[in-house]
Amino acid sequence: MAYVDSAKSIPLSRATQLLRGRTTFLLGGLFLCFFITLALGGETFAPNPPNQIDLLHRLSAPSLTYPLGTDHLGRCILSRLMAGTALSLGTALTTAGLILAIALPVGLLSALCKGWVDAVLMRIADIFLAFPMLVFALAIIGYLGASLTSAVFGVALAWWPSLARLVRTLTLEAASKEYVLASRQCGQKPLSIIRRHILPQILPPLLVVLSLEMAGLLLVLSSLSFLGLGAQPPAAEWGAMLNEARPFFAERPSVVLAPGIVIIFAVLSFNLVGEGIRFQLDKRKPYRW
Amino acid sequence: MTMQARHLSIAYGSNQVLSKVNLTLHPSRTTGLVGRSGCGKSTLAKAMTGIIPAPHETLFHNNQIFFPDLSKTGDIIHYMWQDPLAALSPFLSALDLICEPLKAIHKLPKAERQRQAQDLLDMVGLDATCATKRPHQLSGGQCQRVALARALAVKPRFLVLDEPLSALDLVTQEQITCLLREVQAEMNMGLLIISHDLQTLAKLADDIAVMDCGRIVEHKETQEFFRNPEHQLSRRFVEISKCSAPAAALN
Repeated sequence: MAYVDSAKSIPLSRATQLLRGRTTFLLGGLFLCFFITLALGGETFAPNPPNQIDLLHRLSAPSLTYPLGTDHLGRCILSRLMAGTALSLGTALTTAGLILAIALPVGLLSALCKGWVDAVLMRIADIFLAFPMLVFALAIIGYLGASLTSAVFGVALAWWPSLARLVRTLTLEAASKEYVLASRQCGQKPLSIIRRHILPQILPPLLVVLSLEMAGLLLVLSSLSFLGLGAQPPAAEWGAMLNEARPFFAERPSVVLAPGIVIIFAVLSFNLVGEGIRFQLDKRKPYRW
Repeated sequence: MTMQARHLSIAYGSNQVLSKVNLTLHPSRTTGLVGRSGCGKSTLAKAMTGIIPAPHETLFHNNQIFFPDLSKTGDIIHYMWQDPLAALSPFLSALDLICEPLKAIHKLPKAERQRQAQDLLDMVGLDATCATKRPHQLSGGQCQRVALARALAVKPRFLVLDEPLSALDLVTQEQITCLLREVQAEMNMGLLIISHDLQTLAKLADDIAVMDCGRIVEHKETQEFFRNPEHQLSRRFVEISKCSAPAAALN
């Protein structure tokens, strides 16, 4: 009879089972947790005050006092990156929330009311979609004036139509399910049907799209700050830091590389989490949530 | 108090699914509807209950023109889907599913609707452990009984049951057959039962209608139907059911 060391093999197999297919999600989640911790306590943990100017140490190399060196005004790059996490991720999250706040009711109304309501709302969305999104966002920021608030509004107004169309498509499919019709037959009111039957169906795929969109939003908002249209000096925001450091790239490349790498990792973490959720949802059996 | 379909015709493009169908449902009476697969039985039932749109002036309730609206007339005529798993929300427990019509239609307070839902679960032969389970955690037969309990919770004047006993074992079939008779007598409910099983309809139905190619080709009292089937398809159905009768009796 073969001897099986069950005491050792069972926990190991459980760990393997837990990790299988979830490595992408776990890796992304790990990065995201790191960024969320930084966003919550970045300024507290920072080795130096993020806006403290030290003109004697302009563009200095990494040292014990300034672990990633200093920028053109002698400010600690690491401290600014840590303190800027809350602002950079916060604006991306606010923008995503604003997009969802516009797209969700528009998509739901359009799919459930049908008829002229659907036609009007979707034609408005089509008009917005006819413009290149970034150009449209720039036009709105130009009208409102360069600031981080304008950038958030500009991007949200330019980005909502594509998500509204997705919400409409998902809702149309969800509302045609037999159990939704059966629930209507049982006298359920439209709002109750949306809350109990439609939202639970459409939110998981929307979550995947939003988490992937978050990466794009982070890049767009950083790009706008890089162009001087988003966060304004002396705010410690990753895109704005890139913009300010641009003229000094030849002299001290790390001034530009540090915020660039942080943006890459933040974008990567959102992409990995989104991909991980998508993978898990694809494996889901029908009727199992 | 009747529900009638008069000259009801439905076509999908060039495909004529129903053509000039006449059918009357009476309170306290059970009508059985049989026919080959794809002959339009479910389409007729769905058109009468407002799940698919019916042409104007083809449906009548108490001889008044009836406009079935899924959200408003579910308590007048109610349809129970053929596939119970698809017709029960995967997000709600069996108890919550039965509570839905008790809250929305009968406006009962929470404690009362939970008590009634529990009673209905008992009536269809489901124990307390099923109450908290979601449809995917129940078997096909259990789902069918939850769907039936929910349909009974609506207390409609007319109930259309599409293959209501197909996923049930013979003992549960007998139990549900008795339950349907009791509920019908208690609530004066008119039943339309769609089934392929003539043995079941022989036990339940007062009259049987046979559909073929979108038309009702024969409609008779049950005993008369079995004694003297006129249409070729009816004769075939009766012959087959007689052949399978010993097997059913053996079971």
